[in-house]
Amino acid sequence: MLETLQREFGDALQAAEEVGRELRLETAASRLVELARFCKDKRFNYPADVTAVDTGTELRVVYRLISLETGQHIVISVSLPRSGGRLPTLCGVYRGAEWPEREVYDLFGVRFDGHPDLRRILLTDDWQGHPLLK
Amino acid sequence: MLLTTVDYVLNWGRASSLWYLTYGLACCAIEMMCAAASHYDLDRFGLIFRGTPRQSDLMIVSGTVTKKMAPVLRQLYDQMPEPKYVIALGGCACAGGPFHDSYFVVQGVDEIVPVDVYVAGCPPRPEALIDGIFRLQQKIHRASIRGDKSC
Amino acid sequence: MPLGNEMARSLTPTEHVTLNMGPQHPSTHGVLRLKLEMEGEVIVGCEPVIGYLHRGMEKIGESRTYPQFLPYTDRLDYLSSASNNVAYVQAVEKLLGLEVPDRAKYLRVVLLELNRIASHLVFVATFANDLAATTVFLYAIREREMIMDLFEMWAGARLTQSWVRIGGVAKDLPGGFAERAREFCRLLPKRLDEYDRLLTGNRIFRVRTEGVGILAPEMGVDYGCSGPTLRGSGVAFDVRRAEPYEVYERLDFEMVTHPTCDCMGRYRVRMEEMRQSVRIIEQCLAELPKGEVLAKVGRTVRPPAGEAYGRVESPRGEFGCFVVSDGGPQPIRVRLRAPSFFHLGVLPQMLQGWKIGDVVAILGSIDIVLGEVDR
Repeated sequence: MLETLQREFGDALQAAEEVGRELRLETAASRLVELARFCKDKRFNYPADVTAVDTGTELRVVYRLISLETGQHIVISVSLPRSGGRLPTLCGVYRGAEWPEREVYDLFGVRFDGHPDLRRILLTDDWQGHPLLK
Repeated sequence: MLLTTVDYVLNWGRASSLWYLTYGLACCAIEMMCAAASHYDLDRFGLIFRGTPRQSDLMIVSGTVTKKMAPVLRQLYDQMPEPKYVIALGGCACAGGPFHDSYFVVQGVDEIVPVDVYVAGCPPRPEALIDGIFRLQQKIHRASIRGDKSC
Repeated sequence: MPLGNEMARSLTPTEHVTLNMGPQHPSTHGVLRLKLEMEGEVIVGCEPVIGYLHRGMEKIGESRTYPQFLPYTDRLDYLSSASNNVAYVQAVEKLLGLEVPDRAKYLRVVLLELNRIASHLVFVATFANDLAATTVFLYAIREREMIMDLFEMWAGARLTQSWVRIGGVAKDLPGGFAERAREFCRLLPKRLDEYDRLLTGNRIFRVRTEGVGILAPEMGVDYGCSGPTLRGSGVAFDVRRAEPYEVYERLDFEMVTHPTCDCMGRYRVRMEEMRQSVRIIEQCLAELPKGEVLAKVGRTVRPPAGEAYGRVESPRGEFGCFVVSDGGPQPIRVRLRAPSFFHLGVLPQMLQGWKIGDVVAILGSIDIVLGEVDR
């Protein structure tokens, strides 16, 4: 799978390595939806998680896609600035991305373009700020 | 003489059939459920679970109160008819519990409603809850219609 | 109806009613708010509102050391606290490259499976209670009290045991535990038969659960569902088989699925899983090797920089813990992937077109715990 991805996306993958069961990829926001759709077509149809990590210098949104047949994980990371970050939504590819993306918006402030219902999910509607940012 | 008998009867009535509103929020709610079910059985003390605040006299706040839940809690408390009592069950309801530095947790339910009995624990055993209910019953027995509550 | 449907509808203008199943409700299994939009009694839309139990666990994880965060994980899915513990320590052990002793792995499995049975008993109890079969509630809690006694004997705590440690378990089994556990394992299948007689064959129960709340398998997978919710739709996905952890690859048990995709299917999966858990516990107690129960871990746990994902089959589904370390004593990110969060995401789809009375059955059958939804 790693070779297939590198062949198809070559330059769009800023990093690609295999660590145990995981294929860890890094890409840019512009190729994200295409990459996700490609993975889904290759039977990585289970969206295990969408989350974000604030490393202090940047915000990394992490998508974990799992193939129920092979048990392999594809972990896609996209780097964003710590504030004002925008990403295209994956709701069109995986319906299960809707709620975790709302959570990432709620707790980190990342806006997902094209999301059907982007508003706070855990905190109160009038909450100021995004608590999980450092 | 007459007033103390009236007191006694009223208090006996109130304490012996405390119908509680299970305000089950988190883990302590499970212990409250266990206390109400087989083995520990709260029904033998007269406590019956009522789903609506309009028919309950006791609110057992079991679990963490968050800032989102706080207005709801206050609304439910206001909907309960007098006389009403509150038991704060568990560390979180007493004083915020292990979430003392959380941005979204109310540090103890007594910031929102007056609490009669605090039952500490994380979660407290059903026996601890039953002990808390006994203390509440003792407290109710000390009350008087003359208003000079000794508690 | 005396008038034809069409005529009646044209004569009586109707509009959608929004019904609030508030955060305080006996059947929402916690503080969940469902905004139901209904046309008469039929549900046309549902919006779950969560966050009433959001305690900021993930933020707290960043200000606690690795061992200090362990008791917090118990309070997530509080009905099966060991599952959360094991997912978290798995992630940390992967970061540390730590090998857990064999005996500890077997003990963890015993703990996990006892937690699974306890959680499924609460499911049966509350599911039956919601459908007004209160007797089963009392019976199932009676069985669960036996498990609580076992936990108390071993770990000192009934509900949130926190008995798993980074590197193994806290202490070995006390004397007499194995006999009592075996006795419980002998007793439980007979009690499960009792529930079967009371519930599974019960006509009212069947009418309320068969064919109700259909979750198509493709939709379930697309929404990230897992556990009995997905296996009740015939999808054979169980983390214990997909990515075996501890000693599951050495144990003989069946992955339980049911093809009907309805509430009855999910209920039957959980009932059968309890029997499988009994098998697992008996095997573990029989094969328990001698040895240490805790690997050598330094005073301060400082995993090297990196990230790891620990995955466990909790009674609700795939519980995952994503830990990111920068080499310090505290993690820089602890992400808790809760199965109930994703199951609530698909709930509006599952409720479409059903009546208000079915909401309770469908919500009960997906068995959510708000502690892990809201974290």
